[in-house]
Amino acid sequence: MNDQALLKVENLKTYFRVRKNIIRTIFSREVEYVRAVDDVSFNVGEGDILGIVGESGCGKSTMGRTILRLIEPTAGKIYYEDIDITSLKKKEMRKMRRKMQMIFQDPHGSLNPRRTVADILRQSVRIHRLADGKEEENAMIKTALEEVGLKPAEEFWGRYPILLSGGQRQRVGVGRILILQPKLVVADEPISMLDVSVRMGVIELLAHLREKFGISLIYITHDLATARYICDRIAIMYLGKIVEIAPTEDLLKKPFHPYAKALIAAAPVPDPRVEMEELPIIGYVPLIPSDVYTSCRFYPRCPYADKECREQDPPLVEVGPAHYVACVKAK
Amino acid sequence: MALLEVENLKIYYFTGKGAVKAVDDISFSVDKDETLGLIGESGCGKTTAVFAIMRFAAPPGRIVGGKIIFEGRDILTMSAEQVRLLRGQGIAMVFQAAQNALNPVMTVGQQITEVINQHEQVNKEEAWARARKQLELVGISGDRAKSYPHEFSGGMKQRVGIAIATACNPRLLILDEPVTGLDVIVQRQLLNLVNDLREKLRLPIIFITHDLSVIAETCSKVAVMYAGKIVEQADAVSLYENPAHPYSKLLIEAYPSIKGEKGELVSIPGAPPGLLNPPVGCYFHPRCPSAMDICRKTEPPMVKKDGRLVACHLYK
Repeated sequence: MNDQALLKVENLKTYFRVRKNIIRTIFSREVEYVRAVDDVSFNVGEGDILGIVGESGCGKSTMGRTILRLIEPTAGKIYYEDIDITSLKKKEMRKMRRKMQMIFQDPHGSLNPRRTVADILRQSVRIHRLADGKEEENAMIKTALEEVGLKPAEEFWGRYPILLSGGQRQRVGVGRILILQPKLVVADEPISMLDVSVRMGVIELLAHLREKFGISLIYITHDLATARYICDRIAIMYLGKIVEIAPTEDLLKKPFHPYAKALIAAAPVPDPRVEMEELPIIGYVPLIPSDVYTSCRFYPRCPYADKECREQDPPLVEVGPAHYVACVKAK
Repeated sequence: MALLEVENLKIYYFTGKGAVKAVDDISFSVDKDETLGLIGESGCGKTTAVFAIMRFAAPPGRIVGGKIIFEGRDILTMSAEQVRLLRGQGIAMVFQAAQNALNPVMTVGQQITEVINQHEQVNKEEAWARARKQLELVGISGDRAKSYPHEFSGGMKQRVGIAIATACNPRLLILDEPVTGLDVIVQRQLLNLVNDLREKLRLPIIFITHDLSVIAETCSKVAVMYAGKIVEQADAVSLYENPAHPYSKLLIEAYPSIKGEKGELVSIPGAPPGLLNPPVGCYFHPRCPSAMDICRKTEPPMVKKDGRLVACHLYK
């Protein structure tokens, strides 16, 4: 991690209110929340790639969106270059957005089907008023398209998204943010809907953007294997909390948290000669997570859980260089 | 004779712009005690092919040629009534995203007993007792037979799908992308279950997936599909150890793993061809690193090589 953190997230919380029963909501003051992101802190340095890995429902996408204020945080601070963006007004935030961009999961749903590739990129340029005149605009679009591997740009210029393959569409998604020259990009499962044969191409593209433009990336995924190829550090999330955060190879070789161990053991291995490991995990993600808000989130599924785990919610503690774990047993 | 033999199956979709050859002349077989993995990218025709085995092909799709022989009888010439009896009892299928394939307004018990009552003359108590047993077989408490699908998590719904499919003791089970969209841990739990079931029920299975690791963990035999054709067929271990077709090879290399040393990233350039106007010659040649002149002109025939079948001009 660089000392110069580009993004600092401190005690970030995003809660969603649940309505259980309309009568009870009216007559009682009791309000229930789902804690999608619960007290999460981390830094991302310039040119860093941080992976956020977890199962569906662990809050990783909510967190990604909260960082860009697409969802308003319930509490906590988000600093981008030492500016607290949680306190910015809407208008001020709009200016920041050029520097903080997002790549969405679904390349089919996130592109306007009635705009051509060039017009999709043009829209980004116009919203942020980056170009003087059409010629400069066109030049910018051409460079961006070629940068994301849609070469020659003329061939893709007038095409509609429906004529592109999944991988090409996702490249358009990358191109329209690249044209803004952002410094921080949140990529939310950018390859999970793509075919296996084109996935690695998009991963390579993201890695190339970091190399060439120094873009910092928050890579949200459920797949540890692809995270391994691109991330400098990986944070493992479970039910709204980061349970372990460490440099990638450290985490994969010496996982500490039982949940991290289970995720690694469960990761599929594309080799029929490898025996499947036993899974060190019990049951399923609880359907009513509120039962574990005061204890370790993981204890009902943890094979090593004891009394202590039920009584306290462990904080992140350092167990090695830049390696933090939230587990009672980590002391 | 194998349990299921598919011979030269051709399924075309007839659209306004011409025929789309979704499945183009494929042959494979599944024997008792075998697990066949059918692997390929989206749109390669793998689901279309197994839909034909269940006789689900519907316009604009049409089976234009080939035979599907199951236990000595050709499925394609069966009457509607024979097909009805075959489904569920002979061959059963768990659909892609079984989560959404369940009926939301029926309890899971009702959905299992519905299948049993379709095929067998049993009284109500017996059907429900069997339903409970089915749920327990897939690791769900029998008491939950009265629950509705929304009360289960994604992985459990997929298990219910398997419970329904195996309720009438089918002789062949087809799983269409059984773990796609499930989390890794749930995915692993489900694969363990499938492996257990296969041993317990001695059930031959056809696995359809785009995920190499799923095949690696479950299948004995693999058929790799590309653009409506099978390009390589081999037993699982030799395919992974020594893939013959350049596509199989690249597919395996493009698959990242977290075990062992971090290897080099490989991606396959380009994208699968559209099947309305497929390339001349070998369909894979525009993306193939070892493409030769002949690949651009003639389609490679399927040849036998060290106990496997491969369709590539590299092998003669």
